[in-house]
Amino acid sequence: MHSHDPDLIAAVAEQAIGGAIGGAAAAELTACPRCSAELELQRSALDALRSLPAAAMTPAEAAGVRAGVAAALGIAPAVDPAPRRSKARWTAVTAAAALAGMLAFVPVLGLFSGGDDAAPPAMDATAFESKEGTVVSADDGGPVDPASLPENADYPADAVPPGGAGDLTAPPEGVIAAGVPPEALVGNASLAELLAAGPEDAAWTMEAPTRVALQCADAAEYALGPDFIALNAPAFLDDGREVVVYLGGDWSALVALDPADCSTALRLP
Amino acid sequence: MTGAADRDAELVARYLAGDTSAFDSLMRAHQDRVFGICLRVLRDREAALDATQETFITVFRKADRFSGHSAFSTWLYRVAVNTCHDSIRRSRRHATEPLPEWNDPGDPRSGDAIAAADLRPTVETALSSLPEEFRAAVILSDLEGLSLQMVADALDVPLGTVKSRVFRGRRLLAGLLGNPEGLHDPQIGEHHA
Repeated sequence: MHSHDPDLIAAVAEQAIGGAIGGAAAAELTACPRCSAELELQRSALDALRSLPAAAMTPAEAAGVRAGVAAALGIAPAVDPAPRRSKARWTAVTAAAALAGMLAFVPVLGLFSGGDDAAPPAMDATAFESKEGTVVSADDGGPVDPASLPENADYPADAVPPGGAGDLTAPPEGVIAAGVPPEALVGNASLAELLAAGPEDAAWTMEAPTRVALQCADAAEYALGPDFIALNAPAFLDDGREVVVYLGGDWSALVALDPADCSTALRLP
Repeated sequence: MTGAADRDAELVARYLAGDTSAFDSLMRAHQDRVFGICLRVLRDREAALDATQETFITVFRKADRFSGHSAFSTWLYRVAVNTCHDSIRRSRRHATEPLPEWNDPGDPRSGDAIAAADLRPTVETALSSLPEEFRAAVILSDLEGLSLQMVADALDVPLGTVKSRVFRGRRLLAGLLGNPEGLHDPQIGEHHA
């Protein structure tokens, strides 16, 4: 007698018992009202769960995650010919690009790589320019329609995205480079336009904290207050350490925290 | 161990020896399932992407502690679940969410089936409202298809506890989806460890 045996009910609900034995077990449970009710609960839950669509990353999301892990570990990942990023990531890198642009006007601070040994990212010079203290941008300075980019290609065919390949143990040139693919800039307005848009523009909104930002969420809230917003993009000090960058609500101040101990690594101005 | 587990163990060894292609192989082999777990637990795509990334960073940084006595995937899923739970706890500290409407479900005796249906949560919402330990067990078992023993290893609890959590989790899920019987938990299976 299997009266109200949860293992048996679960097995029958899962159809884990086949053939005559399974049929006999189901019949036995059906003969017991309480068992039958339990079986129905299990089956309805399983049916509901099986109705859920599969959860999968898009190729671009997967490539972004792999690149992020590789960056954190200081290893060079393979370059993925991934599609464009989602809107949420797009707004994040837009803000990162804007931050980089803002810092382009701030002289000699710790976030600049500056050193001769900092290898500049290899870029397709016909499509992008990379200047120390600034960021890569469209060579004509104007917006480029994302639809004009090759299908399923994040990067120009012979370009290596900043942070996407190469030696990530060395800090990338510029302020924020790793994790900011070129299309984030060419698909949006020019830097001047981004800066002019300011914090009121919806594109500045951060939709989710980054991993390292979460590590310092409490410290940042305590030290900086609620007006500072964490940027959802990797940033590095010139010694290669990843930092969490916060922008002040009035977009006039910047603080970078070291996620190792959430201490202030840099404050601008 | 299985062929997949052996292959993972070999890849971990190669990664520790400096072979970065092993890193890429391990990530590609497991990234979708880790993301699936994180998305089901967190119900937020960006948060799930963050948790997926954090999971892999944690695992690779501690890869030298991987003994190989259990499957790499089991360890990975355990880290993923813990990372998600940490994320939820951090979020709770920073946000106060109102109770969902369906927390006060329609009275099935009222006969107003349409009104009751309108208040019924989606499967995703119901799943997210399961107690944390039930939710993780149901997700790993019924959505990710892990064996009960793998779920037990991943959650670091006895097999009987996993059986109980999956059974009761499904029961409660059915209750949240409209079967009032499921909302009464008679603690079935607590003893069958």
